Amino acid sequence: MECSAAMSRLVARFVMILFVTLISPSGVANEVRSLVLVTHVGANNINLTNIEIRRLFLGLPVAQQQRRLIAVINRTESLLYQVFLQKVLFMSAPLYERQLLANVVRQSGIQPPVYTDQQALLRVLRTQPSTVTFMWQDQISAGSGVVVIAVIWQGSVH
Amino acid sequence: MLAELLANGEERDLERLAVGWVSPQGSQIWFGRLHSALDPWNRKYHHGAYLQTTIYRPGLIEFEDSGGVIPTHLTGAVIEAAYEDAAYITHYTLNVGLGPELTPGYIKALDVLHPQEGDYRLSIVSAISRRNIDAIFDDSGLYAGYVQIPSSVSGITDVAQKIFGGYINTSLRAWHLSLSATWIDLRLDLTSGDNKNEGFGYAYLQPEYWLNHDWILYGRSEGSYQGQASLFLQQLPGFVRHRNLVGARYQLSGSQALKFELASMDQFGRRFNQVALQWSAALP
Repeated sequence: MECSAAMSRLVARFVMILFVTLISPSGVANEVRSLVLVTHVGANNINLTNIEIRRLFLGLPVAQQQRRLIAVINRTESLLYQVFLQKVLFMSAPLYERQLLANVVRQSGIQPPVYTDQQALLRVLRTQPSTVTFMWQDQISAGSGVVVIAVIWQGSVH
Repeated sequence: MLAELLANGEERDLERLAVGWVSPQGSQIWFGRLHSALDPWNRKYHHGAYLQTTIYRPGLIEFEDSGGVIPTHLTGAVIEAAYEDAAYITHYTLNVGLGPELTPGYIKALDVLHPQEGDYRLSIVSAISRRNIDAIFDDSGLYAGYVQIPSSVSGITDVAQKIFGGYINTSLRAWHLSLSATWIDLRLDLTSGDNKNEGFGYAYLQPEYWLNHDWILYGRSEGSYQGQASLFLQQLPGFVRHRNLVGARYQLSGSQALKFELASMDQFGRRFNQVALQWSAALP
């Protein structure tokens, strides 16, 4: 009788641990997402190296086919912006913003426009062929008018 | 087009006013009143208190009316070309324009709002710098200039400066180091008809420790060499001949910074200590 009760407690504890494990954040399978660089659908021949991507988003001149590209900062989602800074530019937000300002003051830099609204961001990309931004690949739908030119980071986020 | 206005309790100056063209590759040409390419500080931070780590600029390149001894502004044209290879970007800068005038107490750059005031002559400055294509801090360069400075100070009619210098900014993990050295050869034409040749050097070393995203701890040691007997420097009482400082910069949210600095300095033979606190911000 006593042995049976002990076994029941053990099973109950196991079920509890399993339940807690399943519902806890660490138990949730990490979602693998891709951070991609996108541009106007008609400008899909843009080919940027990692260094050019860094320079572009630092507001420095980067040209393709004799045309200066314009970086657009996507701040529609905090996690997206943080992943971009940490995994692509390797900078903290204050350092990045200070560096952007320094490049503008230095005369050759351009302060990239910042968008916090996804629809407005897509509208700019659709209407201005030289603009380039970053977004999650799974947020791009068919007919959005933008095209992926590079996968710049891939990994699990939660 | 670029304009930079400085206004405070004592003055209102149009510090930079220029029109220019920047090629898609980064080469550029500008006309107007611009910062000279002498010492990287000028072209890196301009008047941006928020951008520079320290509160004060090094003494040699203080602005003309604040004790500076070489021109921080030239009014004319600047051409800058940039060439990239796989790992580096090399910048060539040529700056031709009207330099400053020596007035009692300080050198005075041309005021674009009152260009008829003062006497200014053509000067030329060139610089070459090379930076790692992937780094934001690390770079090195050389600069040289020939500056003609008419004088309204009694006893001196003209001053000619030949300036040569070099610098290196380098980083290793959290440590960032800036080193700059400049030599200035001077020829002073005196009202007596004689000439006086003299020269002096100036160098600074600024180590910074980037503790985390918010805090930077820093120091700077700077000073002149062979400048004690310079007749030209005697005309500039605001010139900081030597300074040692330590400080901390704290990054506040929203592009604001707070800095605290302790300095020991020698200005025109006066030795004193200074405590400074500065709040700066970059407004959108």
